[in-house]
Amino acid sequence: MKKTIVGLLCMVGLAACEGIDCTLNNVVALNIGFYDANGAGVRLADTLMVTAAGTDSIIFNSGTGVEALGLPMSYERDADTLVFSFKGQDEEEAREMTLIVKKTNQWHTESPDCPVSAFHHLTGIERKGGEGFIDSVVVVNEDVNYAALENIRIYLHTAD
Amino acid sequence: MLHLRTSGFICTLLISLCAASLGAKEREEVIPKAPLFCGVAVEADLAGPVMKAVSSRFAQMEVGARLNFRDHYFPIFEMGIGESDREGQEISNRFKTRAPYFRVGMDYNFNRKHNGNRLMLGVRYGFSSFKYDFQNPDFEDPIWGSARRGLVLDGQRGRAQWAEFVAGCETKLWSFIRLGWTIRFKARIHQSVSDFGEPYYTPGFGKNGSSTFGGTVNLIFDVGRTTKKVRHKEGGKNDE
Repeated sequence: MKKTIVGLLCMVGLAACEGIDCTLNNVVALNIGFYDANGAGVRLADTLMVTAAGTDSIIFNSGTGVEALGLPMSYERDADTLVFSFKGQDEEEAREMTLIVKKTNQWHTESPDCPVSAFHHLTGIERKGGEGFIDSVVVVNEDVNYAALENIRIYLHTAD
Repeated sequence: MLHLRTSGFICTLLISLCAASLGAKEREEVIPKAPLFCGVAVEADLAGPVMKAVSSRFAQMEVGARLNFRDHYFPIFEMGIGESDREGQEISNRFKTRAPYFRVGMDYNFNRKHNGNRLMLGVRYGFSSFKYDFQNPDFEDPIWGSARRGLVLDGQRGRAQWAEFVAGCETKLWSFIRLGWTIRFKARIHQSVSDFGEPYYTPGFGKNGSSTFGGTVNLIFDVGRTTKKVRHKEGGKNDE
């Protein structure tokens, strides 16, 4: 009987413990990869900067040798406009491509102790500019959430 | 950690079972059989009001009613109000809910003597349908900006069903008044929640998850007892 009582007390003690058990990987980002015309991943030779159109935010600044990147998305907008600026070492002006990413948004909560996130489902993508150095832009995974999968592939113009 | 806690609970149940059965074998005295129907009891959980008074993360105020057959079998119905109003420890999120819950089940008393003490094991099926709110008044989009400040996700709907495995004991305090306690391992069977995410707390279940532990401290009142009939039938050998 003593063992039973000790066991029960231990269990009550264990049950009383509580930690903050939020998801460790709690970053929501639009993950973009760069590929050559043959579908192989490439590192950009240019310096890349990405800005959020309509705001004064630079969301990716002066990246060199970029193969992939994750960009924050708006929590509530129906579409985010991303301006990609590619600049080579010998170039005076950057070449620009604009991506309009259309999406639906879904709030995600876990616990009062954990940060609130917005998940997204991509519904379409529209490219403006980039002719001559971008072949195509393709959505490969519509869901932007904690899974951190690649969402968009940008195929560079690497073959004539 | 969960496996450890689960195995600990199962071990304790087995130890309780063995202790009860061994104790019964050692004392192989002739124990008169209790009548088929031994009465009705109502009970109230004292732990819930205490949890509410000390501003615990959540509190459950519940009452129950049970039948007594042969002083061994106790079909039971429990109902209560579960509530939680909690702010995040490091961020200004706030979760709030208040809803009823219900449980039905059966306890078995392993004490073969009808001396007023009971060592119980039992199971419950619990369910609740509830609404919950999630708010963060300081929430804003740091990069893209937002037309409004703050996040309000009120009136989210949730439903939950779960099973409980109960171990407990009780004793007679005076006449028709008893005091007892239970500890409970709770395993979620099914839940449907809002697309926004799971609730922090499920009424009647506890902190949300696939399983959790809980407990009650019960004040029990025997009503409509058949004590006199039992005494008469058994020659006054038993208290019950």
